[in-house]
Amino acid sequence: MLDLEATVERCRTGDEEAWTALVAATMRPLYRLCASYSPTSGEAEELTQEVFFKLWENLHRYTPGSNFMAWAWRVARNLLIDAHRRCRRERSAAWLDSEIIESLPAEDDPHAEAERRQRLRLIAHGLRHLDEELAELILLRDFAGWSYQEIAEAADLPLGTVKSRLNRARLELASAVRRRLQIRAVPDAAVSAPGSA
Amino acid sequence: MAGCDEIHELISAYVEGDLDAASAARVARHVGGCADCAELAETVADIVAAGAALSELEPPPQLAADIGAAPCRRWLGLLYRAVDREISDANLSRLLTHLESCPSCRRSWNDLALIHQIGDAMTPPPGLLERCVAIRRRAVERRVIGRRTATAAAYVLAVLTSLVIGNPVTLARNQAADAVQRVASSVSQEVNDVAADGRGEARVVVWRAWRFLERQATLVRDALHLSDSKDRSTAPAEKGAAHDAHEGEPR
Repeated sequence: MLDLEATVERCRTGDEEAWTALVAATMRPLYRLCASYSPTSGEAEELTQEVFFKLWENLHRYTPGSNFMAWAWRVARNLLIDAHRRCRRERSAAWLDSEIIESLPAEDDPHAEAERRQRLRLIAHGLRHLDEELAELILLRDFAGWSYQEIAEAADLPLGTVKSRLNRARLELASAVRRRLQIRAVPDAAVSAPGSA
Repeated sequence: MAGCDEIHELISAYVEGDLDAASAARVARHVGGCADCAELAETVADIVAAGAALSELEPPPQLAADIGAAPCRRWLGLLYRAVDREISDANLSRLLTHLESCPSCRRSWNDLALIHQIGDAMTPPPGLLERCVAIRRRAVERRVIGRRTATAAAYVLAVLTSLVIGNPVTLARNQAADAVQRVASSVSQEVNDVAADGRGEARVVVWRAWRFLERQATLVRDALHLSDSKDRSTAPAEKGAAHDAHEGEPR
Protein backbone atom coordinates (compact mmCIF):
# COMPACT_ATOMS: atom_id res chain seq x y z
CA MET A 1 0.00 0.00 0.00
CA LEU A 2 1.20 3.51 -0.85
CA ASP A 3 2.70 5.54 1.99
CA LEU A 4 0.82 8.78 1.40
CA GLU A 5 3.01 10.87 3.69
CA ALA A 6 6.24 9.76 2.07
CA THR A 7 4.73 10.30 -1.38
CA VAL A 8 3.67 13.84 -0.52
CA GLU A 9 7.15 14.51 0.80
CA ARG A 10 8.68 13.27 -2.45
CA CYS A 11 6.24 15.42 -4.42
CA ARG A 12 7.47 18.45 -2.56
CA THR A 13 10.97 17.85 -3.84
CA GLY A 14 9.65 17.88 -7.43
CA ASP A 15 9.52 14.14 -7.99
CA GLU A 16 7.12 13.71 -10.94
CA GLU A 17 6.70 9.98 -10.39
CA ALA A 18 5.62 10.63 -6.83
CA TRP A 19 3.03 13.11 -8.10
CA THR A 20 1.64 10.52 -10.53
CA ALA A 21 1.42 8.02 -7.66
CA LEU A 22 -0.30 10.56 -5.39
CA VAL A 23 -2.86 11.39 -8.09
CA ALA A 24 -3.59 7.70 -8.64
CA ALA A 25 -4.01 7.08 -4.89
CA THR A 26 -6.34 10.02 -4.20
CA MET A 27 -8.17 10.29 -7.52
CA ARG A 28 -11.22 8.20 -6.59
CA PRO A 29 -12.22 9.96 -3.34
CA LEU A 30 -11.44 13.39 -4.76
CA TYR A 31 -13.40 12.73 -7.97
CA ARG A 32 -16.31 11.50 -5.88
CA LEU A 33 -16.11 14.69 -3.83
CA CYS A 34 -16.00 16.88 -6.97
CA ALA A 35 -18.86 14.93 -8.55
CA SER A 36 -20.96 15.70 -5.47
CA TYR A 37 -20.48 19.40 -6.13
CA SER A 38 -20.85 19.36 -9.94
CA PRO A 39 -23.94 19.26 -12.15
CA THR A 40 -22.41 17.17 -14.95
CA SER A 41 -19.70 14.55 -15.23
CA GLY A 42 -17.79 16.87 -17.61
CA GLU A 43 -17.71 19.60 -15.00
CA ALA A 44 -16.78 17.10 -12.29
CA GLU A 45 -13.79 16.17 -14.43
CA GLU A 46 -12.74 19.79 -14.92
CA LEU A 47 -13.19 20.53 -11.25
CA THR A 48 -11.06 17.52 -10.31
CA GLN A 49 -8.25 18.81 -12.50
CA GLU A 50 -8.49 22.26 -10.93
CA VAL A 51 -8.48 20.74 -7.46
CA PHE A 52 -5.36 18.70 -8.20
CA PHE A 53 -3.57 21.74 -9.57
CA LYS A 54 -4.47 23.67 -6.44
CA LEU A 55 -3.18 20.83 -4.27
CA TRP A 56 0.05 20.60 -6.23
CA GLU A 57 0.55 24.34 -5.93
CA ASN A 58 -0.02 24.28 -2.17
CA LEU A 59 1.87 21.12 -1.31
CA HIS A 60 4.51 23.08 0.59
CA ARG A 61 1.79 24.21 3.04
CA TYR A 62 0.81 20.69 4.02
CA THR A 63 1.88 19.71 7.53
CA PRO A 64 3.44 16.25 7.35
CA GLY A 65 1.57 13.74 9.48
CA SER A 66 -1.78 15.53 9.37
CA ASN A 67 -4.80 14.13 7.53
CA PHE A 68 -4.08 14.59 3.81
CA MET A 69 -7.69 14.29 2.64
CA ALA A 70 -8.93 16.76 5.25
CA TRP A 71 -6.19 19.17 4.18
CA ALA A 72 -7.07 18.60 0.52
CA TRP A 73 -10.71 19.43 1.20
CA ARG A 74 -9.76 22.64 3.02
CA VAL A 75 -7.49 23.70 0.14
CA ALA A 76 -10.10 22.84 -2.48
CA ARG A 77 -13.13 24.04 -0.56
CA ASN A 78 -13.34 27.47 -2.18
CA LEU A 79 -13.11 25.92 -5.63
CA LEU A 80 -15.87 23.46 -4.74
CA ILE A 81 -18.13 26.09 -3.26
CA ASP A 82 -17.53 28.44 -6.20
CA ALA A 83 -18.39 25.65 -8.64
CA HIS A 84 -21.56 24.91 -6.75
CA ARG A 85 -22.64 28.57 -6.61
CA ARG A 86 -21.87 29.10 -10.29
CA CYS A 87 -24.01 26.12 -11.26
CA ARG A 88 -26.82 27.18 -9.01
CA ARG A 89 -26.76 30.73 -10.39
CA GLU A 90 -26.40 29.84 -14.05
CA ARG A 91 -28.63 26.84 -14.39
CA SER A 92 -30.53 26.53 -11.13
CA ALA A 93 -29.08 23.06 -10.88
CA ALA A 94 -26.32 21.64 -8.76
CA TRP A 95 -25.54 18.91 -6.29
CA LEU A 96 -25.80 15.46 -7.72
CA ASP A 97 -27.47 16.30 -11.01
CA SER A 98 -29.34 13.78 -13.11
CA GLU A 99 -26.38 13.26 -15.46
CA ILE A 100 -24.27 11.98 -12.55
CA ILE A 101 -27.15 9.81 -11.35
CA GLU A 102 -27.60 8.34 -14.82
CA SER A 103 -23.90 7.51 -15.04
CA LEU A 104 -24.07 5.21 -12.01
CA PRO A 105 -23.93 1.49 -12.77
CA ALA A 106 -27.43 0.02 -13.05
CA GLU A 107 -28.87 -2.65 -10.77
CA ASP A 108 -30.01 -5.99 -12.21
CA ASP A 109 -33.65 -5.58 -11.22
CA PRO A 110 -35.14 -2.83 -13.45
CA HIS A 111 -37.87 -2.03 -10.93
CA ALA A 112 -35.38 -1.64 -8.07
CA GLU A 113 -33.16 0.40 -10.38
CA ALA A 114 -35.99 2.76 -11.32
CA GLU A 115 -36.88 3.19 -7.65
CA ARG A 116 -33.29 3.90 -6.68
CA ARG A 117 -32.88 6.55 -9.38
CA GLN A 118 -36.17 8.13 -8.42
CA ARG A 119 -34.99 8.27 -4.80
CA LEU A 120 -31.69 9.84 -5.83
CA ARG A 121 -33.48 12.45 -7.93
CA LEU A 122 -35.73 13.40 -5.03
CA ILE A 123 -32.75 13.68 -2.70
CA ALA A 124 -30.82 15.73 -5.28
CA HIS A 125 -33.79 18.06 -5.60
CA GLY A 126 -34.05 18.38 -1.82
CA LEU A 127 -30.33 19.13 -1.54
CA ARG A 128 -30.66 22.09 -3.88
CA HIS A 129 -32.99 23.78 -1.44
CA LEU A 130 -31.09 22.89 1.70
CA ASP A 131 -28.93 25.43 3.49
CA GLU A 132 -25.44 25.38 1.93
CA GLU A 133 -23.53 24.42 5.08
CA LEU A 134 -25.95 21.64 5.96
CA ALA A 135 -25.92 20.31 2.39
CA GLU A 136 -22.13 20.25 2.52
CA LEU A 137 -22.16 17.97 5.57
CA ILE A 138 -24.38 15.48 3.73
CA LEU A 139 -22.11 15.61 0.69
CA LEU A 140 -19.02 14.93 2.75
CA ARG A 141 -20.48 12.23 4.97
CA ASP A 142 -23.00 10.44 2.77
CA PHE A 143 -21.77 11.10 -0.77
CA ALA A 144 -18.01 11.47 -0.40
CA GLY A 145 -17.97 8.81 2.34
CA TRP A 146 -15.94 10.72 4.94
CA SER A 147 -15.90 9.69 8.58
CA TYR A 148 -17.21 12.03 11.27
CA GLN A 149 -13.65 12.43 12.48
CA GLU A 150 -12.41 13.50 9.04
CA ILE A 151 -15.21 16.07 8.73
CA ALA A 152 -14.49 17.39 12.20
CA GLU A 153 -10.81 17.79 11.36
CA ALA A 154 -11.45 19.38 7.99
CA ALA A 155 -14.15 21.76 9.20
CA ASP A 156 -12.34 22.40 12.47
CA LEU A 157 -15.44 21.56 14.50
CA PRO A 158 -15.90 19.37 17.60
CA LEU A 159 -17.02 15.83 16.79
CA GLY A 160 -20.30 16.26 18.69
CA THR A 161 -21.14 19.39 16.71
CA VAL A 162 -20.55 17.57 13.43
CA LYS A 163 -22.85 14.76 14.52
CA SER A 164 -25.66 17.01 15.69
CA ARG A 165 -25.44 19.24 12.59
CA LEU A 166 -25.42 16.27 10.27
CA ASN A 167 -28.47 14.88 12.05
CA ARG A 168 -30.22 18.22 11.53
CA ALA A 169 -29.19 18.25 7.88
CA ARG A 170 -30.57 14.78 7.28
CA LEU A 171 -33.83 15.57 9.08
CA GLU A 172 -34.34 18.70 6.96
CA LEU A 173 -33.53 16.84 3.78
CA ALA A 174 -35.81 13.95 4.77
CA SER A 175 -38.66 16.44 5.39
CA ALA A 176 -38.06 18.02 1.97
CA VAL A 177 -38.11 14.60 0.28
CA ARG A 178 -41.30 13.59 2.09
CA ARG A 179 -43.02 16.84 1.13
CA ARG A 180 -42.09 16.20 -2.49
CA LEU A 181 -43.39 12.65 -2.30
CA GLN A 182 -46.67 13.89 -0.87
CA ILE A 183 -47.04 16.43 -3.70
CA ARG A 184 -46.55 13.62 -6.20
CA ALA A 185 -48.90 11.29 -4.33
CA VAL A 186 -51.82 13.72 -4.51
CA PRO A 187 -52.26 13.69 -8.35
CA ASP A 188 -51.79 9.91 -8.34
CA ALA A 189 -54.60 9.55 -5.78
CA ALA A 190 -56.79 11.87 -7.83
CA VAL A 191 -56.26 9.77 -10.94
CA SER A 192 -56.92 6.45 -9.20
CA ALA A 193 -60.02 7.68 -7.31
CA PRO A 194 -62.59 7.50 -10.17
CA GLY A 195 -61.52 3.99 -11.12
CA SER A 196 -61.81 2.70 -7.58
CA ALA A 197 -65.26 4.21 -7.05
CA MET B 1 -42.29 5.89 25.65
CA ALA B 2 -39.79 8.47 24.32
CA GLY B 3 -41.17 11.61 22.64
CA CYS B 4 -40.80 12.31 18.90
CA ASP B 5 -38.37 15.22 19.45
CA GLU B 6 -36.03 12.99 21.44
CA ILE B 7 -36.16 10.34 18.73
CA HIS B 8 -35.42 12.94 16.04
CA GLU B 9 -32.18 13.77 17.85
CA LEU B 10 -31.11 10.14 17.65
CA ILE B 11 -32.39 9.23 14.23
CA SER B 12 -29.10 9.64 12.28
CA ALA B 13 -27.11 7.60 14.75
CA TYR B 14 -29.89 4.98 14.80
CA VAL B 15 -29.89 4.62 11.02
CA GLU B 16 -26.09 4.38 10.93
CA GLY B 17 -26.06 1.80 13.77
CA ASP B 18 -24.05 4.18 15.93
CA LEU B 19 -26.21 3.91 19.10
CA ASP B 20 -25.64 1.73 22.14
CA ALA B 21 -27.99 -1.24 22.50
CA ALA B 22 -30.33 0.37 25.05
CA SER B 23 -30.79 3.58 23.03
CA ALA B 24 -31.23 1.64 19.80
CA ALA B 25 -33.96 -0.49 21.44
CA ARG B 26 -35.70 2.66 22.69
CA VAL B 27 -35.72 4.22 19.21
CA ALA B 28 -36.90 0.93 17.67
CA ARG B 29 -39.81 0.73 20.11
CA HIS B 30 -40.85 4.29 19.34
CA VAL B 31 -40.53 3.87 15.60
CA GLY B 32 -42.61 0.67 15.85
CA GLY B 33 -45.52 2.63 17.29
CA CYS B 34 -45.15 6.01 15.53
CA ALA B 35 -45.87 6.09 11.80
CA ASP B 36 -44.44 9.59 11.39
CA CYS B 37 -41.08 8.75 12.97
CA ALA B 38 -40.98 5.43 11.12
CA GLU B 39 -41.39 7.24 7.81
CA LEU B 40 -38.72 9.78 8.81
CA ALA B 41 -36.26 7.01 9.74
CA GLU B 42 -36.95 5.32 6.43
CA THR B 43 -36.25 8.52 4.47
CA VAL B 44 -33.02 9.19 6.40
CA ALA B 45 -31.99 5.62 5.60
CA ASP B 46 -32.73 6.40 1.93
CA ILE B 47 -30.41 9.43 2.08
CA VAL B 48 -27.59 7.35 3.56
CA ALA B 49 -28.18 4.64 0.94
CA ALA B 50 -28.21 7.23 -1.84
CA GLY B 51 -24.76 8.34 -0.73
CA ALA B 52 -23.59 4.75 -0.72
CA ALA B 53 -24.75 4.49 -4.34
CA LEU B 54 -22.28 7.23 -5.24
CA SER B 55 -19.43 5.07 -4.01
CA GLU B 56 -19.88 3.18 -7.29
CA LEU B 57 -19.03 6.33 -9.21
CA GLU B 58 -15.74 5.81 -11.01
CA PRO B 59 -13.57 8.62 -12.38
CA PRO B 60 -13.10 8.55 -16.16
CA PRO B 61 -10.15 6.27 -16.99
CA GLN B 62 -8.06 8.97 -18.68
CA LEU B 63 -8.44 11.56 -15.92
CA ALA B 64 -5.53 10.43 -13.73
CA ALA B 65 -3.31 10.26 -16.80
CA ASP B 66 -4.40 13.78 -17.85
CA ILE B 67 -3.51 15.18 -14.45
CA GLY B 68 -0.26 13.26 -14.14
CA ALA B 69 0.88 13.97 -17.69
CA ALA B 70 2.21 17.20 -19.16
CA PRO B 71 3.90 18.50 -16.02
CA CYS B 72 4.92 21.67 -17.87
CA ARG B 73 1.25 22.68 -17.97
CA ARG B 74 1.31 22.74 -14.17
CA TRP B 75 4.58 24.66 -14.03
CA LEU B 76 3.22 27.20 -16.51
CA GLY B 77 0.66 28.23 -13.88
CA LEU B 78 3.51 29.00 -11.50
CA LEU B 79 5.43 30.77 -14.27
CA TYR B 80 2.56 33.18 -14.79
CA ARG B 81 2.43 33.88 -11.08
CA ALA B 82 6.16 34.39 -10.93
CA VAL B 83 6.05 36.89 -13.80
CA ASP B 84 3.18 38.71 -12.11
CA ARG B 85 5.20 38.63 -8.85
CA GLU B 86 2.39 36.85 -7.05
CA ILE B 87 4.26 33.66 -6.24
CA SER B 88 5.15 32.50 -2.75
CA ASP B 89 8.82 32.08 -1.81
CA ALA B 90 8.41 28.32 -1.45
CA ASN B 91 6.87 27.96 -4.92
CA LEU B 92 9.46 30.29 -6.44
CA SER B 93 12.17 28.06 -5.04
CA ARG B 94 10.42 24.98 -6.52
CA LEU B 95 10.05 26.75 -9.84
CA LEU B 96 13.69 27.79 -10.04
CA THR B 97 14.79 24.22 -9.31
CA HIS B 98 12.50 22.99 -12.07
CA LEU B 99 13.72 25.60 -14.55
CA GLU B 100 17.26 24.33 -14.15
CA SER B 101 16.22 20.93 -15.46
CA CYS B 102 13.49 21.82 -18.00
CA PRO B 103 14.52 23.62 -21.21
CA SER B 104 10.90 23.95 -22.37
CA CYS B 105 9.82 25.79 -19.22
CA ARG B 106 13.02 27.87 -19.35
CA ARG B 107 12.07 29.05 -22.85
CA SER B 108 8.56 29.93 -21.65
CA TRP B 109 10.08 31.78 -18.70
CA ASN B 110 12.36 33.79 -21.01
CA ASP B 111 9.44 34.69 -23.29
CA LEU B 112 7.21 35.72 -20.41
CA ALA B 113 10.00 37.64 -18.71
CA LEU B 114 10.74 39.48 -21.98
CA ILE B 115 7.11 40.48 -22.40
CA HIS B 116 7.13 41.71 -18.84
CA GLN B 117 10.34 43.72 -19.39
CA ILE B 118 8.85 45.34 -22.48
CA GLY B 119 5.76 46.18 -20.48
CA ASP B 120 7.90 47.71 -17.73
CA ALA B 121 9.88 49.74 -20.28
CA MET B 122 6.72 51.23 -21.74
CA THR B 123 6.22 53.75 -18.97
CA PRO B 124 4.29 56.89 -19.94
CA PRO B 125 6.31 60.12 -20.30
CA PRO B 126 6.10 62.58 -17.41
CA GLY B 127 3.11 64.89 -17.56
CA LEU B 128 1.04 62.63 -19.86
CA LEU B 129 -1.33 61.64 -17.09
CA GLU B 130 -2.09 65.28 -16.21
CA ARG B 131 -2.62 66.13 -19.89
CA CYS B 132 -5.06 63.22 -20.32
CA VAL B 133 -7.00 64.31 -17.26
CA ALA B 134 -7.15 67.87 -18.57
CA ILE B 135 -8.44 66.70 -22.00
CA ARG B 136 -11.22 64.78 -20.36
CA ARG B 137 -12.14 67.75 -18.21
CA ARG B 138 -12.29 70.08 -21.26
CA ALA B 139 -14.41 67.57 -23.15
CA VAL B 140 -16.89 67.39 -20.28
CA GLU B 141 -17.09 71.17 -20.02
CA ARG B 142 -17.62 71.63 -23.78
CA ARG B 143 -20.34 69.07 -24.21
CA VAL B 144 -23.55 71.11 -24.00
CA ILE B 145 -25.64 68.94 -26.28
CA GLY B 146 -24.96 65.25 -26.62
CA ARG B 147 -25.43 63.10 -29.70
CA ARG B 148 -28.49 61.44 -28.23
CA THR B 149 -30.12 64.77 -27.46
CA ALA B 150 -29.37 65.92 -30.99
CA THR B 151 -30.88 62.76 -32.47
CA ALA B 152 -34.01 63.27 -30.40
CA ALA B 153 -34.13 66.88 -31.58
CA ALA B 154 -33.85 65.68 -35.19
CA TYR B 155 -36.87 63.44 -34.71
CA VAL B 156 -38.86 66.29 -33.15
CA LEU B 157 -37.94 68.57 -36.02
CA ALA B 158 -38.91 65.93 -38.56
CA VAL B 159 -42.34 65.63 -36.94
CA LEU B 160 -42.74 69.41 -36.86
CA THR B 161 -41.73 69.59 -40.51
CA SER B 162 -44.36 67.10 -41.55
CA LEU B 163 -47.00 68.96 -39.49
CA VAL B 164 -46.14 72.28 -41.10
CA ILE B 165 -45.84 71.22 -44.71
CA GLY B 166 -48.45 68.48 -44.74
CA ASN B 167 -48.35 64.79 -45.49
CA PRO B 168 -45.19 63.90 -47.43
CA VAL B 169 -46.95 61.14 -49.35
CA THR B 170 -49.60 63.50 -50.66
CA LEU B 171 -46.95 66.05 -51.50
CA ALA B 172 -44.93 63.51 -53.38
CA ARG B 173 -47.98 62.63 -55.41
CA ASN B 174 -48.24 66.29 -56.22
CA GLN B 175 -44.73 66.36 -57.62
CA ALA B 176 -43.39 68.22 -54.55
CA ALA B 177 -41.43 65.22 -53.28
CA ASP B 178 -38.13 66.76 -54.24
CA ALA B 179 -38.85 69.86 -52.25
CA VAL B 180 -39.81 67.85 -49.16
CA GLN B 181 -36.74 65.71 -49.39
CA ARG B 182 -34.59 68.81 -49.67
CA VAL B 183 -36.21 70.19 -46.53
CA ALA B 184 -35.81 66.95 -44.60
CA SER B 185 -32.21 66.41 -45.59
CA SER B 186 -31.29 70.03 -44.94
CA VAL B 187 -32.82 69.95 -41.46
CA SER B 188 -31.25 66.61 -40.73
CA GLN B 189 -27.85 67.84 -41.95
CA GLU B 190 -28.12 70.95 -39.86
CA VAL B 191 -28.87 68.97 -36.70
CA ASN B 192 -26.17 66.41 -37.45
CA ASP B 193 -23.62 69.16 -37.91
CA VAL B 194 -24.51 70.61 -34.57
CA ALA B 195 -24.35 67.18 -32.90
CA ALA B 196 -21.06 66.28 -34.56
CA ASP B 197 -19.05 69.31 -33.53
CA GLY B 198 -20.68 69.39 -30.10
CA ARG B 199 -20.77 73.18 -30.03
CA GLY B 200 -23.67 75.49 -29.43
CA GLU B 201 -26.29 75.43 -26.82
CA ALA B 202 -29.70 73.85 -26.98
CA ARG B 203 -31.57 77.11 -27.35
CA VAL B 204 -29.31 78.19 -30.26
CA VAL B 205 -30.00 74.90 -32.01
CA VAL B 206 -33.73 75.24 -31.56
CA TRP B 207 -33.74 78.87 -32.66
CA ARG B 208 -31.66 78.16 -35.75
CA ALA B 209 -33.78 75.12 -36.56
CA TRP B 210 -36.97 77.12 -36.35
CA ARG B 211 -35.58 79.86 -38.54
CA PHE B 212 -34.42 77.31 -41.06
CA LEU B 213 -37.71 75.47 -40.88
CA GLU B 214 -39.67 78.61 -41.56
CA ARG B 215 -37.57 79.40 -44.61
CA GLN B 216 -37.88 75.87 -45.96
CA ALA B 217 -41.62 75.77 -45.28
CA THR B 218 -42.04 78.96 -47.27
CA LEU B 219 -40.08 77.43 -50.11
CA VAL B 220 -42.25 74.33 -50.03
CA ARG B 221 -45.46 76.34 -49.96
CA ASP B 222 -44.23 78.31 -52.94
CA ALA B 223 -43.30 75.13 -54.73
CA LEU B 224 -46.71 73.63 -54.01
CA HIS B 225 -48.49 76.76 -55.14
CA LEU B 226 -46.48 76.75 -58.31
CA SER B 227 -47.15 73.09 -58.87
CA ASP B 228 -50.91 73.48 -58.27
CA SER B 229 -51.10 76.40 -60.70
CA LYS B 230 -49.22 74.41 -63.31
CA ASP B 231 -51.51 71.41 -62.75
CA ARG B 232 -54.60 73.50 -63.14
CA SER B 233 -53.31 75.08 -66.34
CA THR B 234 -52.26 71.76 -67.90
CA ALA B 235 -54.97 69.51 -66.45
CA PRO B 236 -57.55 69.58 -69.27
CA ALA B 237 -54.92 68.84 -71.89
CA GLU B 238 -53.18 66.09 -69.92
CA LYS B 239 -56.21 64.39 -68.40
CA GLY B 240 -56.89 62.11 -71.33
CA ALA B 241 -53.22 61.32 -71.92
CA ALA B 242 -52.69 60.49 -68.23
CA HIS B 243 -55.70 58.21 -68.26
CA ASP B 244 -54.34 56.40 -71.30
CA ALA B 245 -50.90 56.07 -69.70
CA HIS B 246 -52.36 54.52 -66.53
CA GLU B 247 -54.32 52.08 -68.58
CA GLY B 248 -51.11 50.91 -70.25
CA GLU B 249 -49.05 50.52 -67.03
CA PRO B 250 -48.32 47.03 -65.77
CA ARG B 251 -49.84 46.25 -62.34
